[in-house]
Amino acid sequence: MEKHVAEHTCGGCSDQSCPQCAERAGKGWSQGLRQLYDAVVREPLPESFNQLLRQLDQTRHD
Amino acid sequence: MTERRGQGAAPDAFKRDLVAVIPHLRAFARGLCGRPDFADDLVQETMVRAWNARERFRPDTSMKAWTFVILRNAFLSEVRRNRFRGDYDEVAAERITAGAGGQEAPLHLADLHRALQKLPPERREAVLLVGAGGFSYEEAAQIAGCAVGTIKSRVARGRAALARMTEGGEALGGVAGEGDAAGRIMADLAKVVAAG
Repeated sequence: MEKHVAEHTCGGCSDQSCPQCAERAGKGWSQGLRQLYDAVVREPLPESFNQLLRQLDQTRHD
Repeated sequence: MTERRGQGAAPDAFKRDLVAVIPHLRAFARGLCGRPDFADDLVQETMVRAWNARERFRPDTSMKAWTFVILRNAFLSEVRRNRFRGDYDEVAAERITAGAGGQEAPLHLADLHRALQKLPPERREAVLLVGAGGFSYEEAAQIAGCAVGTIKSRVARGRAALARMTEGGEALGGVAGEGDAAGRIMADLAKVVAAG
């Protein structure tokens, strides 16, 4: 276990019981999920959305 | 300051709030259906439905939660019509994930995106609402129209499945030999691209 004592030093070992690797895997998917979501939130809106909003706006004046 | 008109929000206020949640609707939809083009179709369908029902929106409630309900109902209708079944797009997934998380993460995120699409829709929805969308269990339960205990169970099972799929190098490359996994994924993507 010596290789796991220092902080994040195992570098991705193949030991299934490695706590560092388990922790990294857990953080990997939960943070990754948030990253996936936030990346889309930050995208600029495609023009088609502005077009739709203009169309919707029109409907209240018709 | 715009005033309420009847039970619904004033049109300007409603539109402003609707515009503000579009990025979140796009993110939720993309996580649900895995395809950027289908996801944006879903969001636009949601916007039209929301607009048509705007008189029923109560301004003292959450526009985000209200529109998420509309979006998930639209999504489930499409699922029932089999529109999304087996239609996962690897190349699109890479394009989505390449823009997320900086240089160190895209390959991991491509695998996570793939793993997410393997979850049953109700667990995928629960994990997205609570794990990414920032909703509480109670809010997520209201959006999904089920009991809080059911949402907790779906999130727990969804998380466990994601952790299982992404540990041991099965899906996320970061555990067993990052370089090898990255090479494998790039090779897979190259095949997909070559296949056209």
